[in-house]
Parts: sequence; structure tokens; C-alpha cells
Amino acid sequence: MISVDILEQLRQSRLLKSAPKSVVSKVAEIVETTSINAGQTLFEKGERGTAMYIITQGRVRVHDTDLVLCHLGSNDVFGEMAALAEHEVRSASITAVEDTTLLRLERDALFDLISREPEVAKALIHVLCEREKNIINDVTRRAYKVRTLERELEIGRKIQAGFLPETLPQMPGWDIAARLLAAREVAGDFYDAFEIPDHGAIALLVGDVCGKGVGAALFMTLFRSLIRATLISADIVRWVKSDDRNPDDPLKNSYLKSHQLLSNAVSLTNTYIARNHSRDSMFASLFLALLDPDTGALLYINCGHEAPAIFNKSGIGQRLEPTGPVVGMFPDATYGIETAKLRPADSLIVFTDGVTEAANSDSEQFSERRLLTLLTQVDEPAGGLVSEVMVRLTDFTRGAAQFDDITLLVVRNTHNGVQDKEGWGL
Amino acid sequence: MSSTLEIAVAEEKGVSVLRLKGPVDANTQKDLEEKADELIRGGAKNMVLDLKEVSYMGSAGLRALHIIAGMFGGDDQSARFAHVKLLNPSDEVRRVLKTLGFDNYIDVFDDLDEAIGAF
Repeated sequence: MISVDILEQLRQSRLLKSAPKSVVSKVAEIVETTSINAGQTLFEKGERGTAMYIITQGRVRVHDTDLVLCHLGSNDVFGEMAALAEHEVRSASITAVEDTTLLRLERDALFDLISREPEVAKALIHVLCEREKNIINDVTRRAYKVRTLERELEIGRKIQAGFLPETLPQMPGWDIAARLLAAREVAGDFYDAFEIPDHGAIALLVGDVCGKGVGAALFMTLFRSLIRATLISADIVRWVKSDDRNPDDPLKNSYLKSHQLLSNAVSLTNTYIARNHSRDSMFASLFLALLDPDTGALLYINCGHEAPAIFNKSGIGQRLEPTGPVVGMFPDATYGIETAKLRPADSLIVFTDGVTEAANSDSEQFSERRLLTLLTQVDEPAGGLVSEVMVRLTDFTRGAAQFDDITLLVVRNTHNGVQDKEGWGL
Repeated sequence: MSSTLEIAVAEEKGVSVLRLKGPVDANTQKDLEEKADELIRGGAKNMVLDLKEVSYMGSAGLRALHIIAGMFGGDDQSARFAHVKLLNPSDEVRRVLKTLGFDNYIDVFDDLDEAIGAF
């Protein structure tokens, strides 16, 4: 004898709500009642299944590991694909959100019933059509959403590109080139190169915000803007233009001001981000230098960044090692300022770890060794060298997915012969 | 290359020792943070991260260290980092700690007893 409850539950279910009474009674003869407790998984994606289910009470989550696709509740039907098609596996996992009772329909019994009662087949087809209609609606809705997001991201990408310099400084005797290849639509890497107004020095900057994607990109705009703003603010310009305290030694004054400029820019940026954004624990490694184009003298602060290298045809020279920690993390951090010199035919390369850690499909990294070896082998203008490194990187990774943003900045001293002017004590 | 991070937790002399196995990168950073959060909510006061079997730890991993130190609270960086010690990092992980300047803020040990004794 079939319980009145089961008949009623079947009648209300999406499977049989428009089926004749006689069909409902037939189906009631082959269902079994079963239950799962809250948190219990009924089946996992990929398992072979032989049954479909109707929820009579409770609620389940349809999911793919931790991605929840939807929730189902009373009268909903699931599992019909794997139940009806013999070689089909479960397309998603089912886990109870609440204690749930189910009616279970086994494939063999169901097929047997269909052969006797075409109305049951009709009911099933109806369910499948409903399901397909919902899927199409859902796919359409998602496609619109994806298109909106893609447009937003594209706007973000364009705006972010505006945070990189449109042109690089061009001065006689100097050749500057840079490239940034983002791993995603937007990047956490950045570079900059510009002349400090009324000072004459060229600021060179390469940074790498931890992480990638939108979060890193938002912080990239903050780091880059703070550094640039502190280097060219009106106060700074006024101060740079102000009378030298020691007119007899303009060189020394220029050196002191350059020193102060660098120190200000990094300290203010560090303190600002560490104090105002500490909850996000976002930081950037950053290399900031001032180049005196008249002399090739370089003053720099390396904030936890991969050591840039000075090199020429005869080999790798000085490495510009870190002089302090990453920016934005430790409000009390102090940063040393170091000096270097770019002599005629010398080049400086500043790069992010996206270059050295670019990996091929065997997880082998491009490595600093490969990069440094390459630098001394290629005798090209800055732009040519940057392109060559990118080509070698592409050859090396052979289409393996780019894991991190890749940034290169190359500055080459193209003066002929000896540039024997002294600057900044160098 | 394995891409998951296994975290085994042991309690030794009142200190939570987390033995990590695998990479601490952008994909696994959250796992470490969540485990630390769970332990701290459960009352953990101090934590040693055993990095002996950590194959890779980049900036995402160091960010996780900063986030975990922040979970302990404290007035300044050194007060926060005082609750977390590192054990047995590889040479490569030590290099990353040094390059990014974390070596001045977080103590690194080769011996578990020493690490526990340093709290």
C-alpha cells in the first residue's frame, strides 16, 4: 500500500505536477524514501549514478568542490542526467544544507515503467525541457554579466595603462626603453621614467606590487602616484629651485637635494601606505633612482627589489642590492641611499621577478643566471635589448601560461668615449 | 610540481607548530592564513612555522606572514611579529626573506627548541 504522503509529494514535485493521477500512482510504486543529514554529501561530481531524486523536504547545495552552482529545495528534481543516460557521470556534487528527505527513482525501475507507461516518459521529457530552458536562461544571463565585467576590466586596463609613462625621456647620450607584459588584464607591476622639473635629474622607477590582478592593480596606481607626486610636488619644485645654501659648491647641493628627494619619496610613500592601508597587507618591492644625465651618476634606493644590474659588453658589473625592505609594510622602515655610475657603453637593467621566475611547462624557471648571461651577449640599443629579452622569454616558456607580470627597464649610456665629468661625488 | 599546501599542526610546550609541506604562493596563501586564524581563535598565543618542506615561498607567502602577524595584534610591527617564528627555511626562502627585508622583522631558527624558547 502506497502512503498518501508519497502520492501527495509526487503530485507536488516538478516531475509530476502536470501528470495524470494514474501515472503518479505508478511512479509511487517504484520510489524509495531516503534521507541525508545536513552536511552529508549524497554524491560527488564524476561518480557514476543510477538514480534520480525528488526533494520532499529540506535543502541541498549543487556544487563543484567549493564553487556553489545553486541550491535546490522541496519539489525540485535532480540527478536525472546520470540516471537516464547510461554512461553519464554526475555533473555536479550534491550536499545537504539542512536535513533532507528524498524520493529516489532507480534507472532500471524507471525504464521498466516508461516501457509500460508512456505518460511517465512525457513527464520526464517535460522536466528535461524545463531544465534546458533554465540552463539557457542562466547561460544568457551569465554571458551578459561576463560581457559587462569584460568591458569594466577593459576600461580598467586602459586607465591603468595611463599610469605608465606615454613616452620615456629622450636626452642626447642616453637611451631608455621599458616594457611591461601583464599576466592578466591589469597589472601589479609598474615602471616610470621622467625628468624632475628644474632639477635636471631623471627619475627611474620599477615596482612590483605583491599579488596580481585587480587588487595589485589598484595598489599599483597608489604606489606609482605617491612616488611621482612626492618627487614633483610644487613644494619640492620650489625647494629644488630655491637658492643653494652653498653657492660655492653647486655640485654638493645638487647631490644633497637628490638625496633628500629620494629619501622623501620613499619614506612618505612607505609611511602613507603602511599607516593607511595596513589592513590589506599590500606591499611593493620598488627600485627608485635618480640619474644625473650629465655625469652618469646614479643615486638609488632599492626597497626589497631584485637587484638591478649594471653591465656592458665585457660583463656584469655592480649589482644594486636592496637598501631597505619592501614599501608599505613596515611604517618604521629605514632606507639607505647608495650610489653607482653608468659610464659610456654601460647599461642598467631593472627587472621584476616575473622575468626571472617565468616558467616553462616543466616548471623550470628562466632564472637570473639566464637573464644575466643574455645581457652581455646582446649588443643592442635599449629597445632592442628589451625586445630580445622578451623574445627569449617567449622561446623559453613555449606557451606555458604567464604566471606573473613581467617588467623590464633598460637605461644605456650612449656617450662616445669618456664622460669624465664628475657628479654627486662620483 | 605539487600545488597544494599541507599543514600539520602540533602543540609543543604551549606553542602551535605548523609544519608546512608544498608551496606557499598565491594559490595556497589563503589556506595558511585560514589555518592560523582558526588556531588564534582557538587561543593560540605563539606560532612556529616549520618551512623545512616548503618548496617555494614568494611575495604572496610573505604577505601571509604579515597578515598572520597582524592577527595577533599589537601596537607595532615588532610586537606583532614577536608571536611568529620561522623554522628551517631553505636557502631560497631565506634569500626571499632577506631581499624583501623581512629578515629584520621575523626571527628565523634552525632548531625547534630554540624557536620555542625564543617566545
